[in-house]
Amino acid sequence: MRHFRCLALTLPSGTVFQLRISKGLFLAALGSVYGFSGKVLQDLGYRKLVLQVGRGSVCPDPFSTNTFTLEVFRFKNSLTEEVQAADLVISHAGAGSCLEVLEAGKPLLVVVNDKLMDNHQLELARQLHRDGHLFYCSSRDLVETLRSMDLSTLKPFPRGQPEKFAEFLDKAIGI
Amino acid sequence: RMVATTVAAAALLFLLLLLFIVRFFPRKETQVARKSTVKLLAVAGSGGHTTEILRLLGSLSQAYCPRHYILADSDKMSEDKIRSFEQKRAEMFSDSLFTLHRIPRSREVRQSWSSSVLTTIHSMFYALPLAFRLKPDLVLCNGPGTCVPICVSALLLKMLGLKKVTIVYIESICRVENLSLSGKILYYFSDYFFVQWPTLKEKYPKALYLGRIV
Repeated sequence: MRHFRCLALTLPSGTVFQLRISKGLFLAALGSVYGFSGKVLQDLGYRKLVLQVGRGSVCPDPFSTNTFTLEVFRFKNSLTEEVQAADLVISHAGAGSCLEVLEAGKPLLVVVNDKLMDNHQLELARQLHRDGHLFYCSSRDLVETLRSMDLSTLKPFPRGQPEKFAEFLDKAIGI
Repeated sequence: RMVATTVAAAALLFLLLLLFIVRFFPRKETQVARKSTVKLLAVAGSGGHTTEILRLLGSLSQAYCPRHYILADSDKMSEDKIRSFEQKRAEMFSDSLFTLHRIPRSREVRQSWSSSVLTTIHSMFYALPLAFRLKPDLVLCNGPGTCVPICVSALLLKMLGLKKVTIVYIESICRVENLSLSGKILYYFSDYFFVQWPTLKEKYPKALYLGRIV
């Protein structure tokens, strides 16, 4: 949470779209996509963008017009509320973020840094993508993906079953 | 440089010796007497390890008590998570007990192999007395570097016949195709080794797979 940049938007209904991007990731790409005025996102129907800047050196000024609102913050202890309110979350590939968003039942688009392609951190995001739980793209394809993806094709993410582990352990230990 | 290599070689030899002993000592199945409580030692760690281990602990009955948590001294996030988990637990079960212990971190992310051996030995000096003092029935861990010295200490407890310890390793959900470094080591030392993706089960046949458990 400390390392991520995050953007979020609201639809006319008042719900929020959020984007979390990892440290050092494609400010150029972000600039062109969002222009920090939200042009591309507005065209797609989003009305609000909440951006987590983290320690980033770029920190756009928040604003609010009739058609678009930009909220900006550096850190929050928990992003649960933002995720809950979001219509779409865009995140880096970190396992914690992926699981948090999917468990909240929110559509997720993971944006990866091409330089990190072989990083083991990507294993989980890639597998969840193969299983149809999230969208996955590189920073270059962000605009393209945002325009073409169909959120209704995502499969719900079933919860884990720690009770199976507990049952196994009780038997193994002899309780 | 020479010193580091020598120490690394010595440590490797020690690990191999441990491995040899574990492999060729008959494993006693001593689950005859039913236990009423299980003294648990759980290794926490930043980067999602704590969240995952707490989910597992959340499903365990109140028989798993007291719960001793080990965390790396540089870990800032885990303590709050553990305390809030335990607070909820205490509201559910009146006789809920836990303790927190910090030991020096045995390995930072991206630290090299040879220097990892040195820092692991350093944290062994703290892990060993702690494990011998707590004498847990069960050690649960899921991959932070800190779990290697703790598990080696637990193994020693077991081999010296001081305590029958069960070591359970649960590889993180993040590991889909490859085990973590801790996982690769503890695959050979743990009593039960869990993976959460079928690809890993195929690669490591001794591993247990019950689907996603966190």
